[in-house]
Amino acid sequence: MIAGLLLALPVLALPQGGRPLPEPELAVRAARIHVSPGQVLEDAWLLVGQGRVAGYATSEAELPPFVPVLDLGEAVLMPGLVAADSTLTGAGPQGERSLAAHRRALDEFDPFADLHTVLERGVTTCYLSPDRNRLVGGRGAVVKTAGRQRVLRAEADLRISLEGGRNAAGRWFRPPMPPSSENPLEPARPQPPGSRAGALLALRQDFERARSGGIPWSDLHLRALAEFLEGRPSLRVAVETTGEVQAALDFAAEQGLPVILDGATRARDLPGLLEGREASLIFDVPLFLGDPGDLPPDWEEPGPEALAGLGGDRLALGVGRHGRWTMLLEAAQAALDYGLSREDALRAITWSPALLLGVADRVGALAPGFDADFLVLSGDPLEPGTRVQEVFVEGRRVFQSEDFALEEFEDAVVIRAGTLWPGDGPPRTGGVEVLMAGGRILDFGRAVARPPGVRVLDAGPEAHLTPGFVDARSLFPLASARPEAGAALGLLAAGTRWNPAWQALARSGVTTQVMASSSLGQGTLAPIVKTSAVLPEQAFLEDEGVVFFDFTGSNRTGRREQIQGLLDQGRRYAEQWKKYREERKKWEEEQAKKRAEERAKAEAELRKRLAGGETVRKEESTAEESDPKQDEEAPEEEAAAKKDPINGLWELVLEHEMLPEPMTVHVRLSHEKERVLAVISLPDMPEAGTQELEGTWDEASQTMTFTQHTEVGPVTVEGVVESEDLMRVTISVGALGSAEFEAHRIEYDDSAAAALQLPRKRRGKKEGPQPPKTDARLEGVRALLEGRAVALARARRGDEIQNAVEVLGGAGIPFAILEGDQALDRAGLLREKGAGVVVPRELVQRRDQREWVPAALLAAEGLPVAFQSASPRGGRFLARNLVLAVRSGLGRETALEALTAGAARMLGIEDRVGRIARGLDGDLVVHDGPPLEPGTRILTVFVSGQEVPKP
Amino acid sequence: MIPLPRTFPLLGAALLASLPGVLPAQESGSVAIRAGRILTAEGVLEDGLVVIRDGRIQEVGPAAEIEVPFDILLEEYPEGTLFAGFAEAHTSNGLDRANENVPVTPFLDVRDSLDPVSVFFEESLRQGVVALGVIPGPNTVIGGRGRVVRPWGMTVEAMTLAADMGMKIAFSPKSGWSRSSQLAELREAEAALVDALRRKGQELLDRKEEEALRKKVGLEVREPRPDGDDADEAGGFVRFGEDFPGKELIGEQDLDETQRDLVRILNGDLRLWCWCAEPTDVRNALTWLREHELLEHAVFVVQAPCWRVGAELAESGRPVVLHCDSRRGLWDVEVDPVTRKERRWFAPKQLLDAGVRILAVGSQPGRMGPDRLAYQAGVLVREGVDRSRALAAVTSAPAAAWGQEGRMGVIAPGAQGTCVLLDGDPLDLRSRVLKVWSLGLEIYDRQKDERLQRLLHGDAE
Repeated sequence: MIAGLLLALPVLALPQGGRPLPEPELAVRAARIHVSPGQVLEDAWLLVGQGRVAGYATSEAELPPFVPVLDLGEAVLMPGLVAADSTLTGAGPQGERSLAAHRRALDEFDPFADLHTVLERGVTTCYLSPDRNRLVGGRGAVVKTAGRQRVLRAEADLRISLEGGRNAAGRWFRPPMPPSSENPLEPARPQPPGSRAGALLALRQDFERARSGGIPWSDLHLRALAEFLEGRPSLRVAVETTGEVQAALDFAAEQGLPVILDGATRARDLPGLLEGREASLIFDVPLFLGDPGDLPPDWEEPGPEALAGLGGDRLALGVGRHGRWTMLLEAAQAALDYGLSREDALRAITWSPALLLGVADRVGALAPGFDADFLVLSGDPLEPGTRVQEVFVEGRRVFQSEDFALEEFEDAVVIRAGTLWPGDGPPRTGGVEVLMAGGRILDFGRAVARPPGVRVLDAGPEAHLTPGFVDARSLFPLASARPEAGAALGLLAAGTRWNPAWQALARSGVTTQVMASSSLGQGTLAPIVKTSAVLPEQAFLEDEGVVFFDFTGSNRTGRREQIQGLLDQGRRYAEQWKKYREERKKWEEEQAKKRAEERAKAEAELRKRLAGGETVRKEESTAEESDPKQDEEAPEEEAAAKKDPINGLWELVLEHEMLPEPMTVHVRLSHEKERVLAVISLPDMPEAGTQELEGTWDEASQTMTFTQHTEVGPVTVEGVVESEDLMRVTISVGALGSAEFEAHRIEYDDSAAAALQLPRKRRGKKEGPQPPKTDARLEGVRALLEGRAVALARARRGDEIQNAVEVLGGAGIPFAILEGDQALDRAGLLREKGAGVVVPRELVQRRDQREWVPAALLAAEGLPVAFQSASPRGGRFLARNLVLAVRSGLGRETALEALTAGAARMLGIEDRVGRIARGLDGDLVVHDGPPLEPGTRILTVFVSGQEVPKP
Repeated sequence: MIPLPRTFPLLGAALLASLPGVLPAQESGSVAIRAGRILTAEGVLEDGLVVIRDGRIQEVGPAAEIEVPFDILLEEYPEGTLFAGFAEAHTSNGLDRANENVPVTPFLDVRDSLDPVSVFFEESLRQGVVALGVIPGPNTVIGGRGRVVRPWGMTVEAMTLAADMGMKIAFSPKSGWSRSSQLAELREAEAALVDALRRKGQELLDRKEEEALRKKVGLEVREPRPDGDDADEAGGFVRFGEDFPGKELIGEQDLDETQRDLVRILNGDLRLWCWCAEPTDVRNALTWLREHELLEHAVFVVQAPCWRVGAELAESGRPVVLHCDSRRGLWDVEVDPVTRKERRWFAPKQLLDAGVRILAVGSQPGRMGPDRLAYQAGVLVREGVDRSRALAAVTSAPAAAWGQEGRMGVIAPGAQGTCVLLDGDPLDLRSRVLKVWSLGLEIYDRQKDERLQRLLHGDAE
């Protein structure tokens, strides 16, 4: 059945090298397979065996039994690119001889070189050039860029360069060794060519002599030339201008040789020149990586018809010397503008160069029997955004772009869709891309940069992208809980990427929410959190928050006075803090100055002592001896007489399932009555340094206790001395549990107690100005006054709104009205203060038996609008509610802006979220159709550049 | 007037020295050394004794079992460790210039360029290096001949331990050249030689015929006259390659110096020190050597990246010298051009694991630590190379590469009487060289090392 399919492929007309087809060992499925120019299979399987193409299957039924299948999904397969020219060899230092047919490019090939820069562009076969800037450079070769059998042709064509000004060699001088009267020193000999005529003359002479025979053994050049002429000669002539093309064609015709013209970037009327000639062309498409300094002023881009009629097997494409020779896909794209069809452009980087190089029995197409060298592309080969994802040579994967991701782009992702809603403006249509990395949006537009290894997520032309939604007041996950004042609530959102409830919320499109509780405590600070995060620092927006005030209620005047009072207290409180910070700063500066002075003094003294010839150590030891404190303690120690129970160096081996391997810890203990000082060090990791801990020692129970407050809660270390030199140590880590270890004293150190002298001073009393006492009740107001939060004032009726505007607006605090049933009546007042409205969660309301959408009217009045879910489930249904509101008359663009950029502006977080713009958080919602329409579903959601996992 | 008896021996010595290829008998001595530990080829000998007579080791064994001959002085170091001394397999130090500009210079010999008073030799001796293979540098195509010397002696002859170290051939490109230039130059040199030989053969054939004719008709035959050089006149000098008319008639004297040594190379008369900095050069060298049936004469001088062709080197069965220069040491370091991630391979271990039998490791000049062979061998041990192989890499393996297996780099009966006395293990960096004997002569004594003593203790005044 496979054979039947194969017979149907005209590809079989291609030569196969007469080898029998291998047994299939692997089937590779792709959306499209470019078998050979003009032969494209849709949704097919490429069969691979023994490194070669074993055939194709177009349906699952045709697959041979038991063959493993590699499904590449939407990828496109094409044959590995064949570079008709390369600078892998021949571009470095040039040989000294101008005529050197005996030189071999293969000599210069380094099979151990790292060729991934070649593979990443999809080049699997390439020509090795001999010296490029010599009249006769030598014999080229053809090699593969990966695989086991690298050399396809050790001696390919003979390369000649007629490129004026670039093919000249200097004078040649080689002194005879030793010089003698028969073998004298001669002056350096000039070498051809001086001009094009000189070059052609030298060539004609040498070709003539090579044909005539009688060549001396020592003339390797002529011998190689003769050998070349006897074989199947193909002559490659590097040319640039029309004149050089003409000269090359004439010379080849005169010698009766087929010719390959290489370059021809500045030749005019190529189709005319080549007509009727036995010549092929490697056309160098001019691609520019930098400023092409050496182009003549009269250079012109090849015209739209430059290559018209030149397609077919005679034309291969290369890249001019201003680009990189590996950019063949780019060259083929560019050549479309010079009159090549798509099919011919692809042919010119695969099949034609293979033919030209004489290796079209193995590479250049994916015909059965050929080497299984193919590329896995992200899309059509000639589309600008297409990337080479993987490269296979002889059926083995030799390159995978993901392996080469840059560290800073390790999590990079490009999302493609049809339409993009930036959040604060009209949508961009007709295909858009967004590049995100490191949690941020790096770029967006029609086609964005593709860093190596980037993951590309194509949502299709129907898809729409919007910024992540902002919920101005969510009750998830606190609901009616009354959090403790001053608690770091934002931390609740850490680790939410793995929590199903949060995942459901994030996948509904809400990426940012104000985490509030159902009771609006006056002046309480609510954090603004991301709905999907792993680390605490990703979980909430630092230095951003919302402070709630409630102006509603029966006693409105009371409320107003209460809030006013709170603000006044808060102002005084904030001023205390301000003063403290200023004083503290001043004090710290003074301290630093003092320390620097002390240090300088000590250094000066030390220097003086060193200059005096005394060794420092001696000096120190005598100083210690005469230390009066030491003297005081001495009798006490003597009284103790027997070994101190804990002083000394203790060794502790920590073995625990949480540790990858047992860890040895050294603790030097020294105590003075109840105070114990522990200096902890890790002998296996001396670079970790030491850490000091202070604890207590209870003589009666022979127990010492250390307590340390850490991020994970209090850590308590309790050691009970069981016998001399043995201690049972219990380490308990907050609520996580505890573990027991044994510690042994490995060194007894009686003088260790002296070490206590050092840390004595710092502990106990705090120095310098101390911070004022924290007042949780006033922290919200302080945040407001310090610009770290905005106020949301619940006010429904007109007079409540009036109060809010007067109190908050009068204090110069940024604020917005929460709910604001009669906000429309006070629109002028609010507009004047620049305050927006967070509309009630019932978006569609009834008045006079009619449905109306307050948000629509507020927006129409020019007031900023934002939405709140005010639900214990959070904003999971916020977008769905909006669908109905849109149907009831809310403009879609208005709704979307209020849901994203508008809300962000109102909450003062517009520099972090709310829009698709460079530098903002990578919060993105991918819809399968226009957003806020009934039938549209959310395909996926990104928060901080990371896709939210499905619950 | 100078009395005859005094000048006569001098004259004799001068005459002897003037004869090429004949080395004057090396200055040597006899000594018996008893040491606390002797590292012999078989293992460690506690309280051992080495008897050196006239520069050769006569006996090695436990001190209790060997009787010291009556005419040999016994020196005793019960605390010392005696070993064969370090050997630097391949270096261009100590030459006043490593290479000439001309690429093909087989006629060069380090004999003409060695500087016996170079500080390099003095420093080597101080570190316990007893033999160095000095050979022209890598910036060449065919570089010239090297020789094995000891870091002692005021003349090149006194220093020389072996004059037949071999010829330098570089397969890595000369600086500023491409690989194809390098290989083309080698082929051009060979082609020019073959061309010249063919013409010379024809010429000699013609002359022979002419002489036969002259003899027949009774004309005078020109007798070859001495031409003043010492080259051999006998034919049959060319033994390689295809036969051509008159090949067997060509004698040494018919060729110039370049041709003579190129013929010696292709004949397989010389050991070939093949310089290969990159793995691809090793491949090229192997191909060239196999083509010319010269593989059995090759020694591969490689750099760290060549561990990649370790299997091919091992298969050739030839000695491998890991050469370190100031840039490349024992590690092959590859930096990914995109991710800047670094990968490192320890080349000696890789080469040994691949099955290379004889691996010599050189010091890395210009780096504190790696510039000492003791350090290099210590690093080998640290990176998992067997201790005996690590020590061999800096003692007996270089000797094997020089073709002196069993004669140098070991303490064994019959070997050269060369050894180094240390106050500790040779692979311990803290060990100090106390004394060195070469061919039974004491050539170094730490106490008498004037420069060192001055450095350590200041001027006596």
